[in-house]
This record gives sequence, structure tokens and C-alpha cells, in this order.
Amino acid sequence: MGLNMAQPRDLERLYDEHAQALFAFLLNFTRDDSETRDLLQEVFTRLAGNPALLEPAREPRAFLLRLAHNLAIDRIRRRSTRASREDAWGTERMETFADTPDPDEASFREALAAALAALPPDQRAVVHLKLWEDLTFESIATLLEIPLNTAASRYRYGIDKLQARLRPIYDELQ
Amino acid sequence: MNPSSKAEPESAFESRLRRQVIRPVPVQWREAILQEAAAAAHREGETPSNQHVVRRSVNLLRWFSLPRLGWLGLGATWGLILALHIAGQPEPLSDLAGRPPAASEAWAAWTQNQRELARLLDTEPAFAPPPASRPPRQQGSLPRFVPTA
Repeated sequence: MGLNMAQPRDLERLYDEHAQALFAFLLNFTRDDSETRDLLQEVFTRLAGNPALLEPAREPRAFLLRLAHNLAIDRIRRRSTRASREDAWGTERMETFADTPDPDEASFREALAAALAALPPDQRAVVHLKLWEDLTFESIATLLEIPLNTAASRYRYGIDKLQARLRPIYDELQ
Repeated sequence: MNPSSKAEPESAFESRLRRQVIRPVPVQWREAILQEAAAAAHREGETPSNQHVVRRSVNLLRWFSLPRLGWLGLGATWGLILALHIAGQPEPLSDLAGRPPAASEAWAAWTQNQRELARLLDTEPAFAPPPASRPPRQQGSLPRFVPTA
């Protein structure tokens, strides 16, 4: 993909096409608005500084998600000397889903956000990429640099935990 | 579970999760992020690029990764170093037969000369004779230590 940062429109187009997906992934992964903002900024700063990054990428979306994930992991590692920041990200209560006028749907989304927050980040990342990015396990494994079976098992564990936690409200809404 | 089976049916629960919409990226972020990214690109353009240094290093590493060329060159270099080392070694011990006499031999010759000179002059030699070797100590020659009290 030819990206010419001499023309800012290229970067704008890239932002318009992929920022929402990156935002959703980072928000779900970090559970933190300001961290999501910083990481999204870092992704586009790196792209602008080194446009050749995208050249070998066959699928820019997958490449950008991978870059975002790696940056988020780096940030977790840098902060690992402090209090377990990774856990703090996951347990923070925040708005993850869009508002909805339907009160049942709103309560389900609230419960889902809390259940997602309770998942370990690696499971949350796989669940997000499978459900909201509609990626195959092969793509997820490549993106997160994990074995295929690990991606599949993390997804299954994550879904089982979500289902166990959301079963009461889910059954009620059925 | 077969992870590559994309045809595995999605449960109603998973379908319901998939329908939940994640909130949109805040609109005001767009301009700020793009401005900062553009500024970073500008700064990057002002700093001297070190890509050629990286490229040279990679090429050098690539050369060493060639087994025939790289390792043959390294082997030839080591062979040359070994040959130079052997050529510069000191003489073997067998070549030291014609070396000058040792100090003890010189001393013996000098004392012999002095004795001969003294005999000719009928005087005592001008050097002290070497100390006679101490006779072996007889057992019980030392006083025994008897503790008192």
C-alpha cells in the first residue's frame, strides 16, 4: 500500500478507515480512555514518521491492530514495575458500548462491559477480535503472535466465562 | 474443538454479543491525533536519516551469513595467523647446547683459578670456602623440654 505522508490526506484516509476499529480494540483491551487515546496517537505518529511500515502489509487493518496491540503490550510492560497496571486496566469501570434507547439492551451492555472487564486481557483481546472484528482464528493467531490453538482456546474460555456471568440477564431477556 | 473450522456454528449468545455496538471514537480526537502525527512526520523529515547505516549493517551481516564465502574467509585468516605465530616462535631447546656456561660452572672455574693462584703464591685463597654441608643431626642431641610444675 503506497502511503505518502507528504500528502496528509493519506493519513486522514487511513484514520477514517481504521481509527474506529483501533479505538474499539484498544478501549476493550485497556479499559482506559486516556490510554486508548495515547495508544491511538502513537499508532498514527509511528505511521506518519515511518510510512514504509505499511508497505509490506497485505491487510492494513490487521497490521494496524497488530501494531496497536504491540504498543499496548509494551506499555503494560513498561508499567509492570508499578502496581499491576494490566489488572487495573481490566477492572476499571467505563463506558465501552454505545448508548441505546432500549433499557434492556442498555442493561445487557452494562453487564457485558463488566463481564469483559473481568476477563484476562489476552482472552479479552481474542474475544474482541473474533466477535467485533470478525477475524478468523488464523488471523487472530498471526495478529497476536500466538499459536492457533491458543487463540481458539482463549476464545472458548473467554466466551464460557462471559456466558456464565451473563446467563441470568441473558435468559431474562430471551 | 477444531480452531480452523470457520463453519462452526456461532451460538445465539455469541450472535447477541456481536450485535453490541462499541461506542464511537470521540470526534475531537481526529484533528488532534492527525495534527500531532503530521508534526511528528515533519520532525522525522528534519532529522538525518540513518537508514543507510542500518542498510550497510544488514548487508554486512548478510555477507557473514553466507557459509562458503564467510566461513572460508574466516578460516583462511585464522590459518594465516597460525602460520605467522609458528614462524615467529623462539629456537627449540635442542639448539641451546652451545649456550654460555651457567653461573655455577663459572663460579667453580673461578674458585679453581683462585686456588691455583694461592698455591703458586703459597698463601690462603682470598675467598671463603663454601660452607660444608651440615652433618645430620643425631637423635636426642637437642635438650628435651621438661615442663615444670
